[in-house]
Amino acid sequence: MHKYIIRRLLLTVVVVFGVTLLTFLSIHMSGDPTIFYISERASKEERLATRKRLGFDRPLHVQYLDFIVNLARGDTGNSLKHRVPAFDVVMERMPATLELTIGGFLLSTIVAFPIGVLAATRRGTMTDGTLMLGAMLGQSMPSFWLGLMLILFFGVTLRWMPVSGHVAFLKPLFEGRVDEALTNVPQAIRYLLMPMVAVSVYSISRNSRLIRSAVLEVLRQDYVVTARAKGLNERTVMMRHAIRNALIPIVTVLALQFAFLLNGVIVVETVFSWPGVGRLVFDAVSHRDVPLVMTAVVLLSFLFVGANLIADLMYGFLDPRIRLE
Amino acid sequence: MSESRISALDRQFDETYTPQSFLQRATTSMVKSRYPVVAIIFLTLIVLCAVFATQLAPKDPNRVEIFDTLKPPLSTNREGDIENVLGTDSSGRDVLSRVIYGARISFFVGLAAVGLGGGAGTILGLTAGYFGGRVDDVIMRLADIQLAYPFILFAIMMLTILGEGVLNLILVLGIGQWVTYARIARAETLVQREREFVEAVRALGATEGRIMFRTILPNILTPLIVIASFNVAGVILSEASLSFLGLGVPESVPTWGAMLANSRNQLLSGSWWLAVFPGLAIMFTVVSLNILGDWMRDFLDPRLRGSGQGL
Amino acid sequence: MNKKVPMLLSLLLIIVLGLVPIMSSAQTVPTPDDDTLVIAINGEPGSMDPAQVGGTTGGSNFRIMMHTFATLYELGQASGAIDPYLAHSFTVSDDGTEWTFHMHEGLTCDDGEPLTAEDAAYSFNRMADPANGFDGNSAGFVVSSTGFIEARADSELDVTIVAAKPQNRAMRLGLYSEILVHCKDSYEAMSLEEATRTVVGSGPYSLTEWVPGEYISMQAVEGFDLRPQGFDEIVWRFIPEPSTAVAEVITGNVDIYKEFPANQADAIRNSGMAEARFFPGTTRTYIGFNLNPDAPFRVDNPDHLGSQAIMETDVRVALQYAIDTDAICENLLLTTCERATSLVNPSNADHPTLEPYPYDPAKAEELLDAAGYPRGEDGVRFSLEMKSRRLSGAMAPEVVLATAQMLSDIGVQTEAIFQESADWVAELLTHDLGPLYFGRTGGSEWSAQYDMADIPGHAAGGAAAETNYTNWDNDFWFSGWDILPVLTGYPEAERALEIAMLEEFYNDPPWLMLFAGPRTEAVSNRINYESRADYFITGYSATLKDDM
Repeated sequence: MHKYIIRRLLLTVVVVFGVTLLTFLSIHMSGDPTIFYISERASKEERLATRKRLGFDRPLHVQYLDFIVNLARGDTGNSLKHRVPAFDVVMERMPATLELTIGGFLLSTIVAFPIGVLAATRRGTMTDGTLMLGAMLGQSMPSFWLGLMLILFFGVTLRWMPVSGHVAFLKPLFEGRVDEALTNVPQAIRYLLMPMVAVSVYSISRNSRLIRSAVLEVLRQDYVVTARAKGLNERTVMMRHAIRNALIPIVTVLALQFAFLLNGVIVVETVFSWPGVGRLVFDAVSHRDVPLVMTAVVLLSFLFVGANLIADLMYGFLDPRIRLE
Repeated sequence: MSESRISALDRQFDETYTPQSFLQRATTSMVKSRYPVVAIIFLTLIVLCAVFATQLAPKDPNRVEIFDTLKPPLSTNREGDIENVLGTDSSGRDVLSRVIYGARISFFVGLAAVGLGGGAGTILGLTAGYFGGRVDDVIMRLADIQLAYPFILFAIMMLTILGEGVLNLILVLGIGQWVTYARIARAETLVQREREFVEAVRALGATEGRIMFRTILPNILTPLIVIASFNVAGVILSEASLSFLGLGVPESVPTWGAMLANSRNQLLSGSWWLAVFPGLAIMFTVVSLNILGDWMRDFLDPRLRGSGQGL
Repeated sequence: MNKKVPMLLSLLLIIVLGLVPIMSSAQTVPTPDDDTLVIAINGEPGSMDPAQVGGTTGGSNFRIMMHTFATLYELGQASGAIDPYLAHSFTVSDDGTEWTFHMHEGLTCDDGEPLTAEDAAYSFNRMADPANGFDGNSAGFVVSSTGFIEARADSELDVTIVAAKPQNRAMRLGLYSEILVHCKDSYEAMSLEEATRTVVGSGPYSLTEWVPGEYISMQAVEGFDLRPQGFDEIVWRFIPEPSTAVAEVITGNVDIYKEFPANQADAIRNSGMAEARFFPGTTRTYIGFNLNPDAPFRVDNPDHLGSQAIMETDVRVALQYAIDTDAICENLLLTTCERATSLVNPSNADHPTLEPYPYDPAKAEELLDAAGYPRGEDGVRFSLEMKSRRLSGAMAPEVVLATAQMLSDIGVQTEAIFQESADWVAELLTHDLGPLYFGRTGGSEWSAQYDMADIPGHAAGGAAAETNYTNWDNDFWFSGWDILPVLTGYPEAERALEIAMLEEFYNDPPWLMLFAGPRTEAVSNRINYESRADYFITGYSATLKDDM
């Protein structure tokens, strides 16, 4: 098991390498980034000077190796737009994105689980029908549209919720200001609620349908039938056999879910003026801010790789038939 | 070892394998549970819209009428005729025509992207799960790289290089899907590989290709089909999100997602029809696909049929 | 099945869903305090370094920095009159290259350091020093346009700016007025990196907090009396999505939002919270004809009729008649506007000989027939692509689509293509954007030459000059720029030459001329605030209404 984890961590290096290479090539294939860092009125000499200053006049492989070597030393270089270390720019926005992603993840799991299990156990009834219809509708709304609707209804019409904005919770917490973080909690949740719902409704719907499928699948397996035949009560059957086995495919999907939520986050952050990484990276790509894009992609990929690793470990834990080597 | 014995074994674990009665049973089952019929009818309608958009649309979907902007549905012109059944958008373009033309792009982009990504992903996942070892490593590392890349970021990067366009969009959305299928196919294959009947078929001397595609594949399709039904819908929504960010297809190509994205400037001022009609088109399509997916799941899964539990 | 499981699960659901009304009923959303002004802007600045104004790095930071930093003087809107600021007066040397500004006594920066001529000179030299790598408006545009050489402190309160060439007075006045003054000791103590986030200001407000991605807040500086300070605190909120910003206006959380989408005006008005203003702006809006013979779309596709056709003056003149600017302004921008006759803002120059091209599609068709481009069997004369950046704010994409439709209506099949802003600018800079592009470029209300400087003379490169985006090659125009400096000091002669040059522009148009502006601004009912025609927001001049 330890060997497995070590091997996975080593492979993470390979993944990060692949991700950075792909990103690096993509940015440079779409033209010389220098053009984005001079004014509309710049002269040719100015352009060449800027190109040299930003280091874009060097051969591509030199630029890439330089980035990798510096990255290994913990130096990501300065963001071209913000002119401060790219790592700092990403990290000061990371807590807000984490709040939204983790919030969305928890919400989509906590809500989807009861819905899915309930629908499966009540298969064919009105409850099942209603829940699944709701899930289908929830899956047919793009998150930006849902977000705007929430703003329109709860923000503008009812005036219950703040239209947009953010109150920090994780950031003061990470910086050791625990008291401030705790005082912020009620307001932080208020501001988080609508974006969190917008980002997770699709996932809630999707997860509850998958959970329902998975539970139904397991309920039909021989060992459940046997367990029932043995006269075990339903609760034991559900908890010990059905749900545990249904968890296998669900965990895979939930791990993928994390990445999926982050996709929604870029859009939802824009709608709710949420100060996260998503919007930052989108701007960085459109401005070809090479160091910033690279850094953000590296950090985000660490997150994803971590989530996948956890999913794989859970896999082995839940289904002893699969051995992790 | 005889081919017939292997086939018989396959059949024993894959009861859908009876070509002569397949269509018949499918129809009966569909009619019995009613909803799939409605879904099929609606989807057929969408396909017809897509194919015959040129004939069906009352107007040129890109015709800008600067004096007829933001007309509500069913409003009449000076002669008392209804000119725009579903109203016009902020450029005076006919919403009905755009919804009809939108079917073309939205629906086919969804199908094509899922076909591309799902096909590739399933084969890769099956291969990885079945052979394991080095093959598994390479494929799953590729998957990890892809997975470590937030899809929208990936799409933004690719669409920046490739430029806007329908084919580029299909390619990008397709590449964005394959990992889901690969991982699920692999996970299912890992389980199926260990089951007795696979051992039995192998013992009978079946080739690797045969075991993979004839023995294991039918048994891992169920979750993949359910995922695919969700996925076409998901892809339609991804297209909308990309439109929201200003990426995707050119302005001259009407899509439901882009219509919905563009409606955001009118939401506060009450031009509801701009969001409602493309929204309904997306919603009905998504719900139909899901109903169909559910039904396929029940129908294709033989173990469920005998259980006496109807939908 | 045991009944407890679903019941527990349902309970959990109820708790989660119940959070919404419980939390909501607890309190309604507070609106800003009486002493705080909230301004919404779409983009966040990358840097708050006073020498880094605009450019892709600075973004829209000048709007914010004109609150934290003062300039030597400002130019009054429309009038162009000098509005003293840190300096109360100035003198110009006989040859027009040395301008000496006389500053007020007793000025200080935020950290208490006295602000003197030495600091003003430092501000100019710092932004122009290539070693600092600044770009944008100050370092990129002002330096090259004025031929800036150096700034020096002659005494405690007198600073002299030295430039290489004599120049039109109004033009130079305008450019010098854009340099933000900051204190030498404070900024010398900082690295360039620190200076992007740290603000030691010289203006009416001092920065109190910058929360990345959220807002910048600033506090009125005590004892600062060169400009009004209507509110104790100003908060600049970064709201990327225009609809969200409008929703914030409607709910009373934002006091000023410039350039809201025109078709949200009703929503703002109906809310009763804010006023939706429309007024003429100074941003020149036009369709550029790319005339660069080496542009890729021309080189790669030499037989393309459309891109060759627009090389002909007759065709470019004909197309002017195809656009109904009045209809566009009234129906899409919900206001009226005056059609431009050249690249100069209508407010800058009365050019008595020039009448705006009228909307006359029949004449356009006639001229195109005469030019040798009849309609084909399908009704199409030739086809063109029109590139636009993704527009936000008052100028909606609808305007681009409408102009494309109007050109298509006279047989010039035009497709509007929208690009990411950064990509669009990249092509624009290298004169590769086209064949048509939908352009908007900032202008002034106080100097025709400021507006004309977009297309400079031989000395600046002529057709190849960077800002001559259409690659227009007109010898009369270029020669005009050679002569203009000679006429400095003879305003009437200077004016006559300007008019002659503008006539040339009118008759051999590199632009399909549309209009200037218009702008929109949502202003909360709780404040008094005068909107500006240019792109700036002077939050310091806003005050709370008495009855509030």
